[in-house]
Amino acid sequence: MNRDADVIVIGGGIIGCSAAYYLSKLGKRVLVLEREDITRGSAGATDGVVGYHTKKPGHQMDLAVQSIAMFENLSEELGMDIEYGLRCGGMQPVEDKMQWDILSEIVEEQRKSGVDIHMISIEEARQIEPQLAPDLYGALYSPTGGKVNPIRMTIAYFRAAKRLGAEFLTETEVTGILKEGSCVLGVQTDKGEYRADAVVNACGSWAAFTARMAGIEMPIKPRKGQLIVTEPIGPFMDCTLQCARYNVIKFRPETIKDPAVLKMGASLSIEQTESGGLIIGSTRELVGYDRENTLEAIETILKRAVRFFPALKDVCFIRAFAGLRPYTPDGLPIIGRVDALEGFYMAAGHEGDGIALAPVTGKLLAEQIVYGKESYSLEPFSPNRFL
Amino acid sequence: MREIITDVAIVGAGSAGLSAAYQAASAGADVLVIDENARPGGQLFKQIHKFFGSKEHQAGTRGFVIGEQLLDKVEKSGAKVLLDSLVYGLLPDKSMGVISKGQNYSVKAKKIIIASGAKENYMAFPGSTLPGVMGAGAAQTMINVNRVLPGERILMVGSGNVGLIVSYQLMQAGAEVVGIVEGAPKIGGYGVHAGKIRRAGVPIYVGHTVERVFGKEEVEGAQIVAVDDKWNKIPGTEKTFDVDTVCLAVGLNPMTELVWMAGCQFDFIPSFGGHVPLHDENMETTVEGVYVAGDVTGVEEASSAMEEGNMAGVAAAEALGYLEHEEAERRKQEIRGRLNTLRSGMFGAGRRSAKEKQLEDMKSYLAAHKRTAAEQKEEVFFA
Repeated sequence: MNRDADVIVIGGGIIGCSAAYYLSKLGKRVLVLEREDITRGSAGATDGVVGYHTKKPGHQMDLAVQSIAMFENLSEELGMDIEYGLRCGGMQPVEDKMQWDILSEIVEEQRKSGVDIHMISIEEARQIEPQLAPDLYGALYSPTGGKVNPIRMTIAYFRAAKRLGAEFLTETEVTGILKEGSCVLGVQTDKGEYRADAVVNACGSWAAFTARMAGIEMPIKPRKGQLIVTEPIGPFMDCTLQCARYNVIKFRPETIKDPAVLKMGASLSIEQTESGGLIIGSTRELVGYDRENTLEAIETILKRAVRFFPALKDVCFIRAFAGLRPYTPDGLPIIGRVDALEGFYMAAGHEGDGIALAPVTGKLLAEQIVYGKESYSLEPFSPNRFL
Repeated sequence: MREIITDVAIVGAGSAGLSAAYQAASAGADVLVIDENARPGGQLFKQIHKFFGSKEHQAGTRGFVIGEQLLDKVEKSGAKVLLDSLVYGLLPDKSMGVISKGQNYSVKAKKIIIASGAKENYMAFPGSTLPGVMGAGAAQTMINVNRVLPGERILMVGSGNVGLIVSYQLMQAGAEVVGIVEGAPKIGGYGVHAGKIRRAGVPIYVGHTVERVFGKEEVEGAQIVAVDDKWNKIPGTEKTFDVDTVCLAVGLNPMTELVWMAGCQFDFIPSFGGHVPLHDENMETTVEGVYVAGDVTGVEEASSAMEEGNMAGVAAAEALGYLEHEEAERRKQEIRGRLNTLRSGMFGAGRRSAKEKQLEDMKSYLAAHKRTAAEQKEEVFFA
């Protein structure tokens, strides 16, 4: 049988491009099939927070530690500046004692992964970020978090993979998975059939559709996040900053009493990009594949931004956009082989952590596909937990 | 967020927006006009010169007087005008985000008329970011509205009507205009305006362009150079002027941001300033219930903007049931007649053919895309 590639990766987002790069690096002939274009999905519609402190304690945190270490020299490795702000730090100011207590608890668990995350007073926080409102209660602080330009990062992986021989077909939609018994043969697309030994589903928020083509149900749902971009201003802040509600909504949603807050999932996430503009988010809405902005969300997000940074009231916002984050029920990504279908692999469901976890996801998945065993166990993220 | 519900929301209180407001409100519709400026009237209050054309277009009347008359009519019609208010978004469900005096509103209207006007083109050359280089429209606002002279010695770039009129008004305000630079081989604007300028002794350098503007902290001088028929600079023809201000009157482009956001389809018509929304005879765009009027539909001038506003206002009022079909048709006929008069003659014929192309493209688009009402109903039924 003629094969078009060793591995077919479906999806040209941050995860697909990362997987293509690390697979190519291990000598595989890779074909990436993308329905639209590189970074057209979530990788092109997000901020670039690469922090430890927003990660779920336990397995996800351990994975993040591995991944963030890889960012240190990623620009050099990929041969393109991905605007990685090394150790700019991450901070989560808290508004009251209750949030302080919840975050302190989460921090204790997060620290078990060996990362430096601790609680600091508002006075200390304002020494690091002087623009913070003085009437806040305190903050969680992680001195080692970073930030990156997610679009440049995806393109860097794409170009580096191409240099190593990977082939990318954009505007090519996968319409079916070719199987023989419980073995994958390749994929059917609107441009014809492509055959390979292995197929990777890196379709992000759309991964459940692709899995279903292979006869597999994956509980991945799109969760909308709305973001706002301001005009470029002078140096305003170094950290990537989320309000405490960000982690509370993410890890302890049961403590939130206001149903409106839960429905929109609005919490502040803010960073200054290299060009000077601020990216301000975000919401967490389960509203299907709708990618429109809403006036309520814009108002809610901006009100929170001004609550934490009063000086922002005089800054203009110039644009708003929304992206879809692939949500999973247990908050963990789905990475690795599907036992029921030989040659079929998942790499999706990272929700808001896709950028931060992309390097390690691509690297470990490539190792699993090439060597049969990865250097750091992907077991907790195995798709088989849902099958 | 506070919500405002109205029949017709109009973005822009200039010539087109106010005319639309007057038509819709006097037919009985509930009308809200939103404008980001502190004063209504758009460009009208800057225009201290007499208008041309026919009697219906108030030939011989000065622009600001026309503005005052229009405002008076709008006030009596019952339309509300919200000033210092910015429409920052228009969503697919047609709700508008509006910031007004520090308050955030969601405006929900059955019909939306976008009459956002146009903005001045910019021209880049060495020194073009120095303070003292400004749009001719900005200079006109400074002298005629704010009563501040932008500079004492001025070089005007562009000899269209804006360049000619603003040059003359700058002189009336006490400045010296050292010259007008025109890239084309002949003067762009009306002979009557150019004549006044020439009689005042101001040279018009046709076939010239700005080479550079120099100065340390602000404009201290400018150098121009002749160009050949392929717009190549001819070395050795440089002329230097001792000026403190350089005004750019190099055309306008429609402010279409909200129209794009609404999802409307566009044409590209260079003589109208670039991308312009497709619209039908009623000024309705490809998005049902979203109308456009004035310079946003293609840069013309105040009189045609007012007529397009009239048309949009009548059409919106008719669509809402405030005007009987026959009555609406009668008014539209009159407006069409006046628009055709405006778009005729040496200067108007080109605009007429451009507008005809825009209307034709709209028809082709509708034929290709618009399903019949029956089909749409069926779809809703089965959804």
